[in-house]
Amino acid sequence: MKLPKGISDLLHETGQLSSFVVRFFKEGFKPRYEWEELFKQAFINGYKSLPLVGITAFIMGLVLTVQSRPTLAEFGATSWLPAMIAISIVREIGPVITALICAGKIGSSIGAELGSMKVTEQIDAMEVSGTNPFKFLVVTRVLSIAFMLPILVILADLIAIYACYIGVNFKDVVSWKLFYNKVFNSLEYSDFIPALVKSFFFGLTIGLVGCFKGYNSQKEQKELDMLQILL
Amino acid sequence: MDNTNIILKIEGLCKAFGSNVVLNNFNLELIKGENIVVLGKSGSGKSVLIKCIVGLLKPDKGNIHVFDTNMLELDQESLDKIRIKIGFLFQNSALYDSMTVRENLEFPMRRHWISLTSSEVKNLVEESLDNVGLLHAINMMPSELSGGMRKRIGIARTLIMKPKLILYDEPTTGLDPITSREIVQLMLDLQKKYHTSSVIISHDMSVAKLTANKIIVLLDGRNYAEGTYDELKKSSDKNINQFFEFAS
Repeated sequence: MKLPKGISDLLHETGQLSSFVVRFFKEGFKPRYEWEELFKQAFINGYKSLPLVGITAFIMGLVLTVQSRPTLAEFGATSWLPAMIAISIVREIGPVITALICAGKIGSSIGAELGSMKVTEQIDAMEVSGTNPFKFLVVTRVLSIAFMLPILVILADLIAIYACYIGVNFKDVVSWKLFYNKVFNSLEYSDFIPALVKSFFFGLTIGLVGCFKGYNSQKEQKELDMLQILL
Repeated sequence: MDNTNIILKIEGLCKAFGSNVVLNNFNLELIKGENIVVLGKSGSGKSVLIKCIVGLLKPDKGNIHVFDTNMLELDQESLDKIRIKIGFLFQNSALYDSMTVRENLEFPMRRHWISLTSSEVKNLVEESLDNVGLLHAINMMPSELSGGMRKRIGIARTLIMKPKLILYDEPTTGLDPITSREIVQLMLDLQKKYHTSSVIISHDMSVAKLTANKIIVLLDGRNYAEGTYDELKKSSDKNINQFFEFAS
């Protein structure tokens, strides 16, 4: 029995992605370790993503506060606002929104970069110069995103909470000390830890999918140029 | 023939992609100091041939001996060691876009000659760029270079590891005749200076005329004809003649 083309393509790609992931874990733990490239990629993927993540987190914290306040005010519960916003940001919204931004920004730029390198034979050039391109290009990029995403999430959480403080003070007058106490008395380690662990795996997934798409790219160079322009 | 003089020996090489047979019992023997030009039409399998030599593609059948080592029996580590002794100039030069010219040249050295000091690396990079007349481009990005400059930088990067065997994949494709001539002259000058041997993949007869000690015509995946430029020019075979007709 012959499978429909769509299904067989899906199964084929799933198989390829699985073997790519297995190769990542096999090569990632073997020396030689590409520390220099890892730090370079951490700078590019982490530090350079901070402005976008920061602006989004600020808007997210502010809007969430301003939009939630009227409902809480109806029940006379505006004093719960800092704790409610902080918990929802730290537990779920912060990691998810940051991961979505990074998937759009970092994942696609890695896909386009590696795709372009593949099409212009730069990956082959690296291989014939006696360098393992998978280790140099893929392992470093994936690990850098996996480790930088939790850091970006922490920063995004802090920025969003600060934006919440500003939002709360639009209508009320709350000192920073009181706000700080309200927020951190309501948060526990069990709010932070799962969120950070989750972010690590979000980062790993973003990196692996972006690298897989780029490393196995068969596209024409002009399509990749267009993609890079769009990004 | 003394075996120590054989740089590259290919025996019965076969490679197919599905039902498309690209190489079918191809043979080649390259002697020290010699240049072999492999001539063939587009899609005849020339690039597949040199990718097999350097281990980027795995042939279905046959043997490839480089410096008396069977490339097909090597593990990854040994293959990487041999690859350092082989230079490869890609059709589009394949310079790393995210690196400057200096970093492009430093890249293989920093990875394999880790005992070199920074000043030794700097001197080697400058010497290599001076060889190709582009010392002034040392801090430029590949996107700022013209086609001819990219080729020259590609040659400099190929030569920086002092390879004994150089594989050129269409070295003059996309260049105007004057720049092509300059690149060919540069290849010859550098060969004289560094005593290298080369396999040159091309369909450009002027390259073949100026560089080849021997020409192999690749047709239907096999050695269709072999000889010097003058020998092949005299041939009455129309498959061989067409290369010379279009060149003239």
